[in-house]
Amino acid sequence: MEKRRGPPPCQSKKGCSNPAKIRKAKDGSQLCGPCFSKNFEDDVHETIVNNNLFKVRKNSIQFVVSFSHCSFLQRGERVAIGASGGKDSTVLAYVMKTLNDIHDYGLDLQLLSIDEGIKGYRDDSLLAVEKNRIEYELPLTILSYNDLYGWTMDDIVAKIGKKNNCTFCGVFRRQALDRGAFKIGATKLVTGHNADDMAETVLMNVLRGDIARLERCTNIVTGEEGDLPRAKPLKYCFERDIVMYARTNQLEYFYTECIYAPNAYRGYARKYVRDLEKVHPRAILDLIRSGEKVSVKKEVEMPTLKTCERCGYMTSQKMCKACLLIEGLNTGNTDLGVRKSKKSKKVIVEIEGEKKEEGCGSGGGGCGCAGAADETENEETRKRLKDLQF
Amino acid sequence: MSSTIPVTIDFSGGAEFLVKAKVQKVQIPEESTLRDVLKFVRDNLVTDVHRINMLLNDDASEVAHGVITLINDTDTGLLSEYDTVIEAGDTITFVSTLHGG
Amino acid sequence: MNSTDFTADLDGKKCVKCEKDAKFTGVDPKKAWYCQECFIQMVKNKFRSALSKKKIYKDADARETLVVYDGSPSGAFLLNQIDDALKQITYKRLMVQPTVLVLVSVTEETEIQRVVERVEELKKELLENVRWFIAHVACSMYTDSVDLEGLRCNGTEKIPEYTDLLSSCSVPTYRKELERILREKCLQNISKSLKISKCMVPDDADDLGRLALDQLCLGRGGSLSPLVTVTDKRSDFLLIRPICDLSKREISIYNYLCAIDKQYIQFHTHSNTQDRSVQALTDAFIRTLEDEKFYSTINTVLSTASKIHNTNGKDGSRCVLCHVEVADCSLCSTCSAIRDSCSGLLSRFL
Repeated sequence: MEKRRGPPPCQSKKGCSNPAKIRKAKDGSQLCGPCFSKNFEDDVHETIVNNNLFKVRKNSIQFVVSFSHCSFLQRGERVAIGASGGKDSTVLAYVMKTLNDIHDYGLDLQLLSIDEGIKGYRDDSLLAVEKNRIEYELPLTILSYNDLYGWTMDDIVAKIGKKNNCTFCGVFRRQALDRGAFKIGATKLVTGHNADDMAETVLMNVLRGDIARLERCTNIVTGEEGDLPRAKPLKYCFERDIVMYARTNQLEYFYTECIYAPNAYRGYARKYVRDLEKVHPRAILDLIRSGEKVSVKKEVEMPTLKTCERCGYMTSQKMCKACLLIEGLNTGNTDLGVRKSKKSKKVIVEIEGEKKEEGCGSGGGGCGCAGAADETENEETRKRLKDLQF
Repeated sequence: MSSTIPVTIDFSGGAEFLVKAKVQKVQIPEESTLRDVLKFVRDNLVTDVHRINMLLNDDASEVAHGVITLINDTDTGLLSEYDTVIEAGDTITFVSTLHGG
Repeated sequence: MNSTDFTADLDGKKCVKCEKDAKFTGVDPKKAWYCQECFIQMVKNKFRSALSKKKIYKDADARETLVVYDGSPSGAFLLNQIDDALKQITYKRLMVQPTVLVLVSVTEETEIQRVVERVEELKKELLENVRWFIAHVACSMYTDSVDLEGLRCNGTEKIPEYTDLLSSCSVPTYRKELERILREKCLQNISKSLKISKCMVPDDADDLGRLALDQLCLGRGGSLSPLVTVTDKRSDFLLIRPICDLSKREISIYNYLCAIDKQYIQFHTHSNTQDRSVQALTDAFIRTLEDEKFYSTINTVLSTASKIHNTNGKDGSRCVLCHVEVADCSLCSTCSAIRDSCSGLLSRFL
């Protein structure tokens, strides 16, 4: 039997003679392990430089740097890395640490993890994050939904069932990361969103008709007008490449599906994006590019940003989504903030009319809104919120 | 009866939950291609049939979306894809990428 | 075709408009159902309001319009609505001076001949006092004006050049996109040759919803609005899509009820189901969603597309191939990729 065809040689520019082992998903290039790893890191660094994410030294090797004073991050700045223990955030933490060292960004990197309170799922992933902490030697802070909102996801699902739990979790997590970052004194946040995520988000926003989100979702930096801007350094990295990078550098990560299964609709969109990637890989980057080009026409009405009456978070309504959802949980009106129903509308009108002294009913110590019945509790909650710098 | 060759099959990235053990040493028929191995996996190794679509497509002719296939740590796309002939002592790795991070 | 095919689960329901027994559902079976007369009226209204919203025919001049007929149910529907309009069968008269263009895409000589014969029959039944031309999509290969003759299929001599160009494209997604672009170029050529500045095409909501997602995946997100809404102003002509709000289903039922389905031309399209293209995936995706009862998908996609535009506005010159994207060099990046996948033939063409 003849020997099977071996792999082609590494296509790295520096003339490496190793056999190629990895086929880069983004552009099909064929590279050996070390060259692939270096290539991946260079890609992320290039994204960072081209988008003015960090202020880089003039004499940084290989790239012509625009020495701009308006770059997203400054030397010495504390940056929180949203760490879930999964592949994206593990790779993000490792690459950020690596680039911080190699290119001397001078950043103070810290890991920030959120505990949603899902038994059996989050416990394990937090172990993975703990491993990251030890291996990468980065400080770690963990914040739980229970601390912030008085509800764990297990409690929430027990109350509302498994239908809209992702709405709750998504909204809560977003605020949790912001609050957590403030708690550790970070002024910027980076998350591990990758190209596949971005492409999927663009698609989902078109399918849902969410033009406001569509306009913003491909921005590599978001929330600059608020208190905690966030960036996505892995924005142009394909998920497959992230996995291969983790494998090549023997990075351990956590991978069980959340037991509260994701909604079916997003599943269809995800399959579509995966199929696209297989048939026409460029479609992933083109979807992102489409999102980048888009803005809403002037004549279309758009909501304006205000601050939540209860907790001061950014919102386009009177109450931010998290407070609305908590209100719903505490009063038993679980459609509130999730569904548009006559009943919900009535409650919202009632809430807007009620005085601040009336409690949200969570029974003290842990509610995120400042409307507790007891004055002392009120004071304590307000102090807590102040600690979180809101 | 044709002879068999020893290979190691490694399940990673979430795929290990579909089978008894993450790393398994098995015997497969000589001159099997990767395509044959997929059917072998479906018929002999998968214990959680309900979630088999995480690893293989409906007729086990291809891996599922988001699954990277490696032979001795080399992407099969750099070899002959599903026609690659498996040799004795090869390690075939299936890495699922389907989980969030 | 049986009328009972469309009347599932409607026992006892009353028409939402008039209280008679309901016989047909709208696009979302959970939201609306109509009796026969109201259904027909609903469809007609959608057609008329699409046109009147944009005030396309307010001007006394420039009423001349090329009406494209491709033999499909949607094409037949469009032709019929124009016929109605001229005969003042529906209310206010639609002031349009149509010229019919039968657009042929088959390449077999015998099939083309059959089309020509079929058109002769059709001309006796509708739009009898109107000019009819038959042209092949290969007319896109002409660089100058085309002299159109009335009785034959124009452009057949360019078919080899056309098929060569398409075959030279190695990427299935780009080949289909090129086909679409060439079809538009053909309409542009013919409009220019006939000195007509408006062109009506029979693109329906199902076509346009798919097109919107395809273009999103091709990187043309900023140009969705002109591509899938009623009017699309190019540099020298206006593309009009009067049936952009109607689904194939609504059109099929209408055609059946009004006996228009006798006017179809049978084109044998070679649909390649093994196709590995973005367009095939988009079609499968939308069909899956509709099978799973997400009926408002197309509607939402089109509505979203109509509300967004390119951040850079309309400044800058347009891509010379697709004519919608703003391009710094002569081609937008998507069209550059299309050209690069065509082994030289496209460059010569441009």
